[in-house]
Amino acid sequence: MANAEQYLRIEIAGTHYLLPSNASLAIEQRHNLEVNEKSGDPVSAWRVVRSVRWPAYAMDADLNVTATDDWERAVFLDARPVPVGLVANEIQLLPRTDLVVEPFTPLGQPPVAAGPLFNGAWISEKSALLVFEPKALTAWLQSFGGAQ
Amino acid sequence: MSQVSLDPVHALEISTATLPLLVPSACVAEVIGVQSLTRVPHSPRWVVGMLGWRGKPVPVVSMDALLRNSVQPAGGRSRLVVFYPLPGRKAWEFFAILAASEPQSRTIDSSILATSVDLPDNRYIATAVKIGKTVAAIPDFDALKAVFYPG
Repeated sequence: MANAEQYLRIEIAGTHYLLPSNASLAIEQRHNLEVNEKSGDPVSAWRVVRSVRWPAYAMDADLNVTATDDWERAVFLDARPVPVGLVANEIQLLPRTDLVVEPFTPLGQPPVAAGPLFNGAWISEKSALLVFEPKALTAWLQSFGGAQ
Repeated sequence: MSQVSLDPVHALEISTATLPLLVPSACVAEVIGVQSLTRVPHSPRWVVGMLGWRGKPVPVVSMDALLRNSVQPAGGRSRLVVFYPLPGRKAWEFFAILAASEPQSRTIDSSILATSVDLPDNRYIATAVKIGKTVAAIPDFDALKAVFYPG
């Protein structure tokens, strides 16, 4: 895996993950988003771009969709028909030199046809962080559905 | 009928709660103590986590969960047996098996292979043999590869 790319560190339900920064179409603060006040809908918020709403979802520790108000930012990934986002408490761009990402193949059947949710990991002395595979993450977020 | 004589093969007997596994030593990269594992969301129940080994991420498999859907927690004597990648897989695709204790070295020869034992059908076991009073199962690595890397 090329380590020339930069990564976003995203905190989801207390666990940090990495996402290649070039997979990010936009990062928005909460106050720039339209928060979904309707209960029972999987969408946490929308980014409204030229009257088109991009849905963003919250995930729990199992990376299933959840309802939570505990988030500050959303990162959006390019997708058709509209980009799709992930809300998180913390989204931080890591310095290029700080990490070495190694390839990783999760075992077993992936949750989406696009493949496993992760394709790498950063192993440090203190911790190990999984790296999202952007296409699979996008497909996974799209599978949550909800109001457009 | 004549028996084929095989050169002795060095093997490791890996203890699990289900039954001991017998694997060629040449498949094993290292045996290490249990350390903290990173959970990998949306993994099957038989994946107990990801190990950081020599700077590489390595998935850890519970054979108890794979063989009989029973996850045994790691104990003080547990070990992680790190395997080289399965044939045909990428050079970095090491995997590990959670062992109940330190694996034991065994030498397998034709006489042991002749003691084939019938076990209840399990797709992940190629055959079983008797080593003294112990029945040890030899994993079917093709079947493991198919379940580890479907599609």
